[in-house]
Amino acid sequence: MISAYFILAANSWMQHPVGYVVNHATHRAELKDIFSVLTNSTVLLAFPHTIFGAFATASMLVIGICAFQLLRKRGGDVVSRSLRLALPIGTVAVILTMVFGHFQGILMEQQQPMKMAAAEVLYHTKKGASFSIFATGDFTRFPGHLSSDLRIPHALSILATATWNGTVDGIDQIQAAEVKKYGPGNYTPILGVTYWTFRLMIGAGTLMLLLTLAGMVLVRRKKMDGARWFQRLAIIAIFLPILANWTGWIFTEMGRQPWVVYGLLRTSNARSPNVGLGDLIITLTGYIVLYGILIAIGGWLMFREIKHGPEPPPPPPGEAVPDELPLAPNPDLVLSY
Amino acid sequence: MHTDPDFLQTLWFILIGVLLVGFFILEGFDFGVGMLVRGLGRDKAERRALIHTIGPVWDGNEVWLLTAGGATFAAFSGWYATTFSGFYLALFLVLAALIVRGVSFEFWGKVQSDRWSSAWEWALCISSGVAALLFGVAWANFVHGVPMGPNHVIHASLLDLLHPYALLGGLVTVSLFLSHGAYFLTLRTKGELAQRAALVAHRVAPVAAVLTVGFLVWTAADQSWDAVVVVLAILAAAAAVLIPVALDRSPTRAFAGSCVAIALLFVVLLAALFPNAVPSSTNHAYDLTLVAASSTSYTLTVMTVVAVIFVPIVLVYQAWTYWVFRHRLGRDDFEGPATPIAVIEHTLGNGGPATTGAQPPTVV
Repeated sequence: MISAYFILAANSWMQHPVGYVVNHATHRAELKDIFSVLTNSTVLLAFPHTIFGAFATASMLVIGICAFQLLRKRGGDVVSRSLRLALPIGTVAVILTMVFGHFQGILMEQQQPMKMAAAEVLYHTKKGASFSIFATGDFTRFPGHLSSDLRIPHALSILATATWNGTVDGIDQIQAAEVKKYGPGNYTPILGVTYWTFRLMIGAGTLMLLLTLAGMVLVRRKKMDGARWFQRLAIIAIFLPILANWTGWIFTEMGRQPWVVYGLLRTSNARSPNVGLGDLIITLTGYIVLYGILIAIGGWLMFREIKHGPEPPPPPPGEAVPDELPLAPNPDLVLSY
Repeated sequence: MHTDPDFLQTLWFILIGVLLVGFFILEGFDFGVGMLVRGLGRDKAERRALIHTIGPVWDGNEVWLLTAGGATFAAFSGWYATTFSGFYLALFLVLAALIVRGVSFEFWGKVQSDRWSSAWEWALCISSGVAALLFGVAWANFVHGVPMGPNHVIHASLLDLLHPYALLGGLVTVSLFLSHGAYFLTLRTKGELAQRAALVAHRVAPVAAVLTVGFLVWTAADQSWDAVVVVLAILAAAAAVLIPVALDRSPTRAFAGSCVAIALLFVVLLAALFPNAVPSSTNHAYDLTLVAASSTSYTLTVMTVVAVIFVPIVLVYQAWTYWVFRHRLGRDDFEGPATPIAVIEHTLGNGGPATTGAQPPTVV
């Protein structure tokens, strides 16, 4: 948690730089106040959002593994106790992730209005702006309209300003303002990416919440063991928090473009002049191949360990030890090397 | 332009040097053990014993490198920026080797099959050797200098970094770490395994000494016989030569001598570097000095406060890890699937063979 805080403080500085002075002789930002970097309003919200997201990720994994055991009729004390722990923790974690995400949205509207407008592909400043759930279109500048669009009235204003009729700045207005402030240039991120990552993140979170709530109802009514539909969905849902984490990070990083440090350093100025396209292709391919192999092996090992299941409890004292153990005596190798 | 580093800059150069020396002493022996896993362990129980000698500590050792990298990033951001983009592909190879090495410890025991474990033993062996080689090549390049213009942008392809001096540097680290690892094993193993480790050390240490002396002479010449470098190089060469000659009869002293030799080797390299961060082989007017690469003294002050508080804590728990896992290991400790905890219980004499689960002890 401590390392997460410092990592997020560094990232938040890139989203919303504070506590620095620009040294014009060396063209660099220099640290002036470490405490304002560590208490940046951006990190104070990004940290709980990320940490509760991590709790949600772990809960969904536990729920998914329990569901897998139930589906194979390997349920037992460990499974039902794990479910009774993971379902409420997962529910609370998802809700808190959403609550802090909402406050992040309000802060983002003040600190990085372009990112919020790009999330919605809102071209013109609007009061009482609606939130689009699903749209198709080419998202280029000035498309006039999106070809199909399903909207929730006033929802964007609530997300971004916490008021029914709040004003949300549009891309065109922000673009003009930023040109005035930073000079000529394109200050709009790739809208197709920001629009869809924002929706996938929120959508995955909403599905997780529905699933954990359903799970709590099933456990309370003692219908969990027979609810095969839930068990199947819960296994797939292991990947929902991963999807939400990915898209959330892609959104916040891509939504900041063309800046690497918002308002201070453009990505095009931050690149290393001696690292060419060929180098990037070599390392990107190398990392994808290496991590692809590791994910495949690691996933296979995890699946093996999940199938192996928990160790059977020792027989109570006084009772005869059964001649044959119910599970194959395959040793638990989690700790071994 | 060529102002001398101030107190805080000098302090942080020394602290980064301490972290690097610590890293090479600690990770040096686990690179060495990694390289020896296949050659020294005759069967699975022995190889398990070898992996267990470094299993609980290797990741702690690697943290020294992370800390040195992090400290460089924070204290001398220009140094970090210049080297990390200038050595882009070389750094990728180092990372790939360290990644494969890290998972080979973890994956090794997860599947009970001889083919599986021998595949990861080879992965550990090769990645340890590659990492040891690359660190020597990298440091020879850092000290010798790289093609670099006035903007402190390095223009060198991967092949430009593989000149004879750098390759000799790589052979020095591989051979030194190999004998260092063998001396470490004479202290951490028992029986036949310890004898075989001593034999390897006995054979490799003279080769390492010859290579080290040659590399130090070349370094002194490369640094135009700078007086400080020459004096330190003579000390380092003496240490490297003395280990196999005089100290071979006491494994403890040999290991201590090996630590000193590695430390002095890197002290020579760091002294040759000072007061530069990255020398330019194009023209010394383009050298990146520590002063030019440095962060502000406010940043260095904050870092000093943080280091004073946290470094002692880290040192205490790392020392504690070594104390907990201090027992000598042999093949009889590992004749069945064992966890590190079970091995401790076994070596402390609390209970039977170090096995877990319901598996009866079998010779694997």
